[in-house]
Amino acid sequence: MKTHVQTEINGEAVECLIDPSTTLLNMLRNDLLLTGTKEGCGSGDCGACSVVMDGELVCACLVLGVEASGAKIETIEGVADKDQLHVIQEKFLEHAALQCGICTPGLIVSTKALLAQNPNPTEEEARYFLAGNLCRCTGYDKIIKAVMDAASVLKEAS
Amino acid sequence: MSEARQFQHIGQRTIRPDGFDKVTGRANYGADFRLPGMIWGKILRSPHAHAKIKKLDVSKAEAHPDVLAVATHQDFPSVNSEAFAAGEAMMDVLDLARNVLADKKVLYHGHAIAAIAATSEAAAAMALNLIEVEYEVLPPVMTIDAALAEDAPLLHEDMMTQGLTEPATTPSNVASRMELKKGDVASGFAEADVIVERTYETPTVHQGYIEPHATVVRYDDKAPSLVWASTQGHFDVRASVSKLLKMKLGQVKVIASEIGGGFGGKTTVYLEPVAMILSKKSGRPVKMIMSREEVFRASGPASASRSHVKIGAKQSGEIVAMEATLHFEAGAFKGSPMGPGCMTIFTPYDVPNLFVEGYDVVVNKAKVAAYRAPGAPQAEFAAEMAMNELAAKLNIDPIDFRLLNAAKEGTQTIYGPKLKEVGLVECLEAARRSPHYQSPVGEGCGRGLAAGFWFNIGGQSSVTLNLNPDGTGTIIEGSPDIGGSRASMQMMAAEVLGIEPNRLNPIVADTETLPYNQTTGGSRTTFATGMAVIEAAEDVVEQLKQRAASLWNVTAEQVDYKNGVVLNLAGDDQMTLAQICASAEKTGGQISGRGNVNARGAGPSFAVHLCDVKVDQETGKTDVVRYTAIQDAGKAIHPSYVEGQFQGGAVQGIGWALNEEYVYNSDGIMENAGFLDYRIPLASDLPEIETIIVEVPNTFHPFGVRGVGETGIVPPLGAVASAVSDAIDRPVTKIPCSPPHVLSMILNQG
Amino acid sequence: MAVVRFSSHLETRTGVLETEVKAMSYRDLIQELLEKFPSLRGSDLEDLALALDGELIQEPLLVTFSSTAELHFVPKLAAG
Repeated sequence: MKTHVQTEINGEAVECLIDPSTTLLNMLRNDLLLTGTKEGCGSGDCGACSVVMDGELVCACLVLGVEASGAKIETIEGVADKDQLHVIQEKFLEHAALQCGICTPGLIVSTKALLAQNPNPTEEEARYFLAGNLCRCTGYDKIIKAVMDAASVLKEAS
Repeated sequence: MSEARQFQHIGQRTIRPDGFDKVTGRANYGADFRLPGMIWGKILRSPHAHAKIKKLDVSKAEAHPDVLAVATHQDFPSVNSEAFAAGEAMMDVLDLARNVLADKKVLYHGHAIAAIAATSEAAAAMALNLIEVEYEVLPPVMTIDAALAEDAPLLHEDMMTQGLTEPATTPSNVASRMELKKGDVASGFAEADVIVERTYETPTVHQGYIEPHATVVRYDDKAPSLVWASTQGHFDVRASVSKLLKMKLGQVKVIASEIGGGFGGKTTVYLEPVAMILSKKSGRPVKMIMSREEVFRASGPASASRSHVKIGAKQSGEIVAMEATLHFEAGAFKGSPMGPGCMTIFTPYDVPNLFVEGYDVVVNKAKVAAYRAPGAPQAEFAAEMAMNELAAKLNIDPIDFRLLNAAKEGTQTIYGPKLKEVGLVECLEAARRSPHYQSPVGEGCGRGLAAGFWFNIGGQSSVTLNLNPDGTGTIIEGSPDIGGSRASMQMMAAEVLGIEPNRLNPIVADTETLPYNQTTGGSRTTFATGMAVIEAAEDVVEQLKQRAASLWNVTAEQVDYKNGVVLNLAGDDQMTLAQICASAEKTGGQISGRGNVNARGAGPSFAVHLCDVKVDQETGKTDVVRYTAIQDAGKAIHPSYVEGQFQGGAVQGIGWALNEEYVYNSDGIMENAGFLDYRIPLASDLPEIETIIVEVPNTFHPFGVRGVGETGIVPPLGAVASAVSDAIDRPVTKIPCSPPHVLSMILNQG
Repeated sequence: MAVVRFSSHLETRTGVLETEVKAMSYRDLIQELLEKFPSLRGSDLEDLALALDGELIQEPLLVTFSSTAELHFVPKLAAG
């Protein structure tokens, strides 16, 4: 028996039929073809599937698709405004804060959540907030520099 | 020569051409691809570390309505033992077949036994329960000591040790022995005033790429079959699939997806041949994705090792002899990186008397795969720890001690050739001048340092550079881009052509588009594929000159090319690259350059890392408080990505030194097969990773490039562990320096 | 004459760590060494890479060299 899910993703109303055991991650990737959200572990340890659900940063692999009913979901696909990259995305590119890029969508979504909650983080606060997002390529150095730079640009703009 | 050369684009920090797709989620990785009619494959894995398969019955699974195909080892056409080059390592095709799907015996917990393709991922997983297997469980062989024991159970009843002076007459768990020597160590040690001799151990660790292995395969009888794979080398995926399934190379087309990390672990195949069997049997495209647990249990860990090292020096600090015996775990099938371990262990030093022997030992763990400078971190860890202890005994600064004995141009290596220009001395001097080394060691902290060496490789790369009528173009290369190499290719081509890099779009083409390209690995891509890009761009320049010359009715010698413009030396005419492209139709058709190389002259890269740690004396928890990575890049094409390689290698090494290890129970089952318990470094674990790029050009490369990807993981094991030694005032001989291990060292004070 | 240096592994077949050769190409080199050291097998050498004056050459078949060259047979490299 499939379940009908109505939800809002990146401001658009969407609906789909899923098996009740389907995770939000698999619903996004396999049913809605939003493959920007990545799977690294399936157990909430790596943060590659970070999305924002009703304002809260979650691992989509730990949420059931049916739980998204009536919720507002923000994914990596909604971060840029058409061709206009978000400052965080620009700073990740400027600082070469990605190598393979598989963790990047999750890190950008998490960074956006961090700066929404704490627009003026210290480096240590940024490192602890992002501790749930694993990156194996960069050693995090350039990621943290990009995050701090994005924070200062956003602060000036506000 | 490259030293005096002024570059227009090389050395700049451009935005990578694939960046937009990667920060917006549009880039397609292994698991992001689908085909119409696609079904899902899942693998049944061994619950035992070592067992005979007494019975394997798949009939109930085959009969299930959701199941469209079942694969076992019997589906492979019979293959014989035969070595072939896959990835950068030599692989035995029979071992590969038996690793991908077990034959008669399972050799590690998680070893693949059978695979099912079904209408959904969940249905495939459910149907695995319908496969009936009976085992005769055998005692697992989980350590080097257990494998070497006289009465050790044998993994392979027919394995005779290779490389012995007298051929082996009885089978054992030792696949091979290797020996290298220079001078005479016995007389060398006789001259020594001080000798350090210890045994060091390193654990089984995983490359830890964040993207699990994933593939989509569609078998086709009439046209080339399609393989979409996350791999460091799609041409070698093609070679492996073709060898295992006896398909012609032209019958297999492999597309390399974007790759979410590999570090050597994606230079072999696990899923692709299995998916090919399932697709052939079901007549449907098959998608397979490993879970994280499967990645840990059944894909490429790196060898655990034990290294016995002896180093002797005179009171003056001159090293007179170095000797080592290395044992490397290969996992279930022969082929650990023991060889490169032997070749690299003492290469940072110019010492007259050297002796190294190595043993390749099979154990009931997953077959090891390459991991960033394979073999070197384990071996050089042992040498560097002993070097630091020796420096302390001689009361000589560890940098001075290394400078006194440093390998340089002309040093005779133990593995054969004399070194050409290398940058170890420059790295050591840069380390000494660094703000880090000049700063005092903090209260309660320890400081360590280590040097590291890796060969780097060249090899085959082919590139086509096509120009469009408006002067834009495409760089078609065959090296999967694992860390930003497309940016470097763009910059090197732009440098030769004298145009803006963003006019050229680099793409990684499939196996039908280009001739064979070697796998991305061995730090070869920017070096060797870079050479092919340069050759292709130079070919384009020649064509542009000829086209302009024919338009002006002069000879090619009468024109010059500079900064994207052809100049008529016989007159005042000039034409831009774009103008020549626009008129290409009139001068013989479109412009396309080619570069085909089997690149020689890869430049070895040396590094020196500095590490400060703070150890909590109550818990044994160790924090890295300051870290600096110094490395010779030859020439940094894109400095940000070069720094990124240094930093990434350093942090993987920090994880190896402090936390990471496979924990097995007494049945040989890994107990920490997930990122929660196999803990790789987090952002909150680390300080800034400072970098210093040293540039001693590699004279074989037009721009001076050496590979940079691997060397950076070699020094951290020794740098971190010797910092811990310094902080707790005890010699560390075993990593990881995890809290329980460090605490036990603190409590066991003499 | 060019100088060839052997690994200690090859020394078990050649009995020496070093020898001089008249050859000035890889093909001639192999032939000369096999004639000079009957217990050497072709595969002992052909499975190895060649280092010519310090430059590693994985596929040396077409290599030529001068009479002052220094040659080493070296294991082929694997890497990650």
